Amino acid sequence: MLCTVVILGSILIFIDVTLIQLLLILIVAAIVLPFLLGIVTVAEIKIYLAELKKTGFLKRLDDIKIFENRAPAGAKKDGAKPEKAVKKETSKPGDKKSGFLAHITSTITSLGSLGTILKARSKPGKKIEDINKMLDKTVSEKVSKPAPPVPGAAGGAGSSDSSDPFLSLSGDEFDEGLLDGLDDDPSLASLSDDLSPGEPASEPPAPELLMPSFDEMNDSATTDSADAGSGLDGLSGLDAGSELDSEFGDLDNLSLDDVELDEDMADSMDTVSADNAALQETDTSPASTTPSAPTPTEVKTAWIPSDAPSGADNMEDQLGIQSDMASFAGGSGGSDEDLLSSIASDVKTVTKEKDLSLLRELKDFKAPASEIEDELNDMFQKIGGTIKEKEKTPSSSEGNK
Amino acid sequence: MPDPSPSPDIPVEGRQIPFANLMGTIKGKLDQLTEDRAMSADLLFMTTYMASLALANASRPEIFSFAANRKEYISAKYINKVDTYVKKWSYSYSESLSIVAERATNPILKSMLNRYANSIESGVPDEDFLKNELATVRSVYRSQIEQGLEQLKTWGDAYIALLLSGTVIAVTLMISIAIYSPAGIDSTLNITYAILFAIGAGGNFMMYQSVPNDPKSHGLRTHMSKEQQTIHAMERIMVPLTIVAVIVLAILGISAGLIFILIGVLLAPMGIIGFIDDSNITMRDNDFSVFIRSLGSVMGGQGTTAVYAIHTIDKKSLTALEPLVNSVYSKMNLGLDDKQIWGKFIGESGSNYIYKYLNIYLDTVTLGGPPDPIGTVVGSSVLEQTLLREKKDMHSRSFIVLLVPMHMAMASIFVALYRIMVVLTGSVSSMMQNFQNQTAAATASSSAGGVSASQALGGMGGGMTGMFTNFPEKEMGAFIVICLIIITVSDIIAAKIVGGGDRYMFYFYTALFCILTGLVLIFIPIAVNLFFSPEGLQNMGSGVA
Repeated sequence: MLCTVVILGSILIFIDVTLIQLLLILIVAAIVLPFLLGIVTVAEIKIYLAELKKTGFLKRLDDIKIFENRAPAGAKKDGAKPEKAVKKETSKPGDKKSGFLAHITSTITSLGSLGTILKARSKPGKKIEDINKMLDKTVSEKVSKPAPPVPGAAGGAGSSDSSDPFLSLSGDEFDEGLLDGLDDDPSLASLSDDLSPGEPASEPPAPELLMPSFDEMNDSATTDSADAGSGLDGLSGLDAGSELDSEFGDLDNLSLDDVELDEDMADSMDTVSADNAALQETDTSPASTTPSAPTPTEVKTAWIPSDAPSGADNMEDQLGIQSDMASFAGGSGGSDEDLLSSIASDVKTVTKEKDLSLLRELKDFKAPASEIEDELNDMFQKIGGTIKEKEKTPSSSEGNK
Repeated sequence: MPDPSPSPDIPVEGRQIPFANLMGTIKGKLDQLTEDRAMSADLLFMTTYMASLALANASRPEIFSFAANRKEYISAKYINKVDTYVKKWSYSYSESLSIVAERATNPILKSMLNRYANSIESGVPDEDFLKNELATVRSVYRSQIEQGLEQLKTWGDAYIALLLSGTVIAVTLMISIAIYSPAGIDSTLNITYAILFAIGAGGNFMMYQSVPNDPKSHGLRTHMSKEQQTIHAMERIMVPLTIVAVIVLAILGISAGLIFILIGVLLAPMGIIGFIDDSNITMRDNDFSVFIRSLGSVMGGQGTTAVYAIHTIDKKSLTALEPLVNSVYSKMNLGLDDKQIWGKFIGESGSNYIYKYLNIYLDTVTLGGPPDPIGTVVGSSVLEQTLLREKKDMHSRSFIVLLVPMHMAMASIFVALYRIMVVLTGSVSSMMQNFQNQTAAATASSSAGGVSASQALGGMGGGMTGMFTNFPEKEMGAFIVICLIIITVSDIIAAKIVGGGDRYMFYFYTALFCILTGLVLIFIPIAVNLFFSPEGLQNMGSGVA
């Protein structure tokens, strides 16, 4: 305020004003300056007036009845005290700083940071080339969605496994590089011979199988997969074949007549026993440590490429599916959203491929739909039988992505 | 048979009150212009939001529904239309997007909606499309900003050159008036005002068109930074008082220089606080990119909540955001409502980017999205915008650094030449008066016959009597002040357009340019009088005589 008055006065020295003008300026300055400097605000005046009304001072003034008898002096004194108390009470809510003080404090704090800001501004900034480089990096930055967490992963070579059934079902997750060492390994030669050409290779078995009778089998598979060499990473689960051997060997000792099984289960167990026989045969071969090679018709990987071990038989496949479905139903997500999202992703993927191929085919042809339909029908009738069988497996595998 | 003539109650098509819709049309066009300018940045916000939703495994209806509800984005109304067509009119998403794209006027938005429609039609998953689209929008945004900066650079130089030319025209006119003292100078002066006004308006419009739109502050009224609160409280009093003070002082006939200085002094506090807030916002935005990435990384990597993540992240690198982050942490520790805490954080930051981007992160993480990639997506978008802002700031700073001395130079030329003209014409007038007196005395004392040398000189002096003598000092003084007002206002607007920032930056530039103009108006005449005194000229003239 002092500075402002001094500055204003100094300015007025240079101006040749009349007395009336000077008085006007002084009045304006006296009224305006407190507002300009933020010493008083309109809001504060309003609050003050409101508080004044609340204090009862004006009320008391209104209540004063001039022609009534004056109250006794003692009573008057008593009456003055509560007024003061009220005044104090009204001033206490202003514990929080009044508007003026708050603004002044914040202004001082802000002005205090002016030096820092000016220093920061005076620093030599980045050059345009640096900014461009950073921009290039930022604009081209790609965000990859992280894979879902892998609880209880098999570790080591088998760490690529996941308990998420849909991750294992996904064709995108399958890494063909895992099979790089397959051809070099003589122990797996017989296995590779047995695999049908063009048949997708399989990943190690999913670690979580809910059927209690096969728990041990899975454990052993997991343990073996951890010991597997780097070249055998993708097929590390196949080592479980030797363990399977012994397990299934025990099964041979069972008399099936003593056990009552459902038809389906009996069928599947028949298949298991047949496979065990095959496994026993492979034990005598030089590559006895490797699991038995599955027959092409029995291998689940023909339509689900990445779920089950290649050495697994049909029973295992079914169990794998069951376990997948079971873990899916009560799995990590455990909610309908997972189900919906997986179905949605299936639909998306299938639609994408089909639409693209259709678009490509139809791009250069300008033919009526009826003609295309007829042609496609003819084509379908001609090759329908064979296509049906062949198409069934890839489409279903894609559909499970 | 009924009368075919139309009923007077039914309005006849084609009959309208002239200019009835003029204001509406102008408003619509202005809104469209504003929307177009803001669209490229807004699409980046929107695409980042949609991509983050896709990362959170949101379904397509969820993506559209959430995006449509983000009212702070301009493009949300178009997404809302798409959502309405799908949900209420049972169109497919592809059809809805195509319909909305057809009606959209903004080319970038139109293109984006069409791309989305095509991708849905061809079965591309939303996540894939939105990831690619985000990269596309970022590239387009960057390209637009850089293109705008190039244009701005050109138009900035052109503006200064044109304004200088305008000043030269005005000065030439002033000298011409001083030499020839024509009778009706009003029309000439008006032409000069028109030229300067046209240069200022045209230059500012072209710069406004080319400068990238970058609103720095969020404009919320519920929570504001303390600087914004102070400015908001002050401006309601200071601005009207400044206007009143200017009018009163002008009526009182106070010198224009002092009025300029008074305006500057009155608005300077708000301007300085605004400058501080603007700089703080810039620094906070720079920090926010780091903060959101760190928060996402820690939350995603450690699987913790925001409280622990905030506690864990390194706050030393967040120089400008640290107090606000600490405030959030302490409030969260107290168990206060998260929404309110983050709302206060956004408000107190005062930043538009934080307002737009933090909600993206919070929304999508609340939906169950992975914090790490969402933090990366959001952080990358913020980083891109802050880097481009930094680039723009470099251009705008160089423009303002050029504009300020040029403004001073132009104002100085005006005032100095005016003062010189005043001194010169005054001296010439007195010289001519002395000369005529001497000539008359010599004529009276000399004998008749022949043409004396003094007569010859007297004849020449009589011919030059009209030159440099009848300089309209008062009119030209007003002319100078009006020209300076036009130039100052034009420069203030130009600086604000190029420099960007909130409305309060007007106070800063007004204070700066008004104080400079006032100083020029006060001190340049003093300096001219020091070096160009009337006594010296008169002595010179009497010596010649």
